[in-house]
Amino acid sequence: MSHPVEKRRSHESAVGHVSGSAIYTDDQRLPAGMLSLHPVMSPHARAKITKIEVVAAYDVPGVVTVLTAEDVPGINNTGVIVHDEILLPTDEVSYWGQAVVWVAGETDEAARLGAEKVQIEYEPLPPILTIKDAIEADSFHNQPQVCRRGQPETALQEAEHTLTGEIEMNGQDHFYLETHASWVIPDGEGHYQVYSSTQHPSETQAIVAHVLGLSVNQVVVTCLRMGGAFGGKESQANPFAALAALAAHKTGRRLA
Amino acid sequence: MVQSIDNHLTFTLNGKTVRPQEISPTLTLLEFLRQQGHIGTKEGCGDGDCGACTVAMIARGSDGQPHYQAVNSCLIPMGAVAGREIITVEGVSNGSLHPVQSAMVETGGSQCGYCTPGFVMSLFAAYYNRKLDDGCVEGNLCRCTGYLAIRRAAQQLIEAESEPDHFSEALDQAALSLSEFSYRGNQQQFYRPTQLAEVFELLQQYPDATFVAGATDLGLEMSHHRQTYPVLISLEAVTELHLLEVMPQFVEIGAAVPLSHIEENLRGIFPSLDEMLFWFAARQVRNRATMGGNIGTASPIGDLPPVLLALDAEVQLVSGLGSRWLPLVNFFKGYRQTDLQPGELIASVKISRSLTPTATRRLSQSYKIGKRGTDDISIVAAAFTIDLDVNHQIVHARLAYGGVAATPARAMGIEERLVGQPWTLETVRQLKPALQEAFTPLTDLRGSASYRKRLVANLFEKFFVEMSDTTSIQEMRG
Repeated sequence: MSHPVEKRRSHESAVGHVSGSAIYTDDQRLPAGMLSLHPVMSPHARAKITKIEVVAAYDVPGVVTVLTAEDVPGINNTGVIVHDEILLPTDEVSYWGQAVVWVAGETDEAARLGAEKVQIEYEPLPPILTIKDAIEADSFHNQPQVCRRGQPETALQEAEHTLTGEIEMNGQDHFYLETHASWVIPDGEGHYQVYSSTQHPSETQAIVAHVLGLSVNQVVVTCLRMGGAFGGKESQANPFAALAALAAHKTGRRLA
Repeated sequence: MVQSIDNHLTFTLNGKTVRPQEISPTLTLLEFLRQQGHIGTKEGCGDGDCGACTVAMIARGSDGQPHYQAVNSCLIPMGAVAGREIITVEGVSNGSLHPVQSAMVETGGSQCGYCTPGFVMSLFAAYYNRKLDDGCVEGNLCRCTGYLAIRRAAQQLIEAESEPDHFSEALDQAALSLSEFSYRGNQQQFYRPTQLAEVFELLQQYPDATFVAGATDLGLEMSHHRQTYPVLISLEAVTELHLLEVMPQFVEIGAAVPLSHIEENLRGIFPSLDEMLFWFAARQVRNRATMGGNIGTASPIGDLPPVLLALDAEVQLVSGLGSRWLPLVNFFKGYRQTDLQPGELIASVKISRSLTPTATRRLSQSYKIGKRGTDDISIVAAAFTIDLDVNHQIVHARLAYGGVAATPARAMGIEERLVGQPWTLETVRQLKPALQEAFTPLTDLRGSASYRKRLVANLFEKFFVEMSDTTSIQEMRG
């Protein structure tokens, strides 16, 4: 009698994968009638934000609204564990490409053209780009994590051979082929259906709720499948879901 | 004379005629497909690097016959789709899975599945071309499987008997040439003429028109920046730009000949060109990219210019007033600036096959140094030609580089010093310090200036070693 573990099985979605019928988040959204969001991104790795002027974006036909920090009814932060990820910054940007405001438009194009009209002024600050610079500037994410057993100082002193050195490794991008995606349908009665390419739907639900100042049961998060994540959608899907929900909340419209 | 103005683009998608209304000619095929609900084709990068958007298009192959070609739909403007037959992943099965699809299911060639439609289409094209080598999926990235299962699927397909089906029959019926197409809208116009004379007429009317052929470079602007152009003239259907003449003394390559045709039809003639084409982007891009485009964009990191410079290539520039030949070395004037005058376009490139009169032997090779093999921009590219006389003395030297200056450039000072010298390791090593200082490259995200300088010199020594026979290599190792 053969054991079930020995049986060859193809991937549960294999036929869907090879025929293009397997659906991902951006495939599910409605083709029309949804607003699009486009970011206005920082050209500086680190800078003080001195002025945000969004008025001109509204002159672009098809622009519906611009999301700024003032639009957040709940908490303007999506950081998990350590709450250090501002959603819509007002004081400072801390990486090149950080989104400062988002323009919602009837079409991708309207949102993009609206974003080009937003004026943001910055006072660049010296960025900290390497671990060595960070150590020198005493700029740490958290307290030192110490793993200790026995008497290491004595052991090192008494050892016959002691080796010291430094090793550097660069970061590795997750490179999920399916980029981040989210879309939201509000029901007009304070509930939000959120479709998000996320590894952690319940956390996305909690974050969306707390950004919007809602209770968690007012948010439903669905993720049918992801086109890869590798950890990159563990917490980083949350800001995009929160922004889509925020725009849906502000406009009452369906958001992609 | 440009015959008809037909704003209605017509093409065939998975066997059905499609006639989209009022569509922008610079909308990418990928965007069109997804907007119309054909969501099987995916966007991974939007710039021709990941292959998730791969579709199959019927196009004339290097043998002059219609073939399925795998292409990146993110880099195909809708204007280029007029009159074409496109197959997407949704069109491959007809109720039951196509052999390409079954193979991928059986070997476990998908995990998250997002790259899978792209792989299916690359394998589909390769299946009908009977060319299921590793190269057929070189332009498709997968982050989940590690590729082995996909390779096993391709292996399985090679071993299986392929039978004629409606796809192979469709090829027999396919049109061989592209028809003329034009579009006139409020904000933009697109023309796809079939004769050079029509191009000149258009240029008279629209002197500031932008040219496009395969769109594998300009396509990035359309894909990422949604760039539109007041007037866009596609050269991909212009008959005169498709010449490919192989003569005993020279080869002449039309500016609109796809690189994949050059790869097939010129194989074995210029080893340095064969080598560089092997590393040029990936198959999907080479099915569309052209030599005219690669030279015309005058990028300092274009892959072909160093090869062509080292072969003393000449370009033919034509306009309504006539034509002229220009050595390629005089074509690049500055950063992305060429000697093209208003009204002119590149018609062809000519490469001589003759050696220098006193030479008895030619050594020629090219190198592309990058972090990835395929689909990468070079850190430094190099191409060398050394002609030797009967006494093993250098009578002619060309050392051409990309990625080290504002234009593709030759190390002319070193070339002069090489002539008359014996072709030995000692000669090469003596000149390396000067060669290392021949250019002042930049430091950028791909490499530092000092790394690039060392590459410039070391690649020439590598060339020497590779061109030597094995006994000399033994001697060098001492």
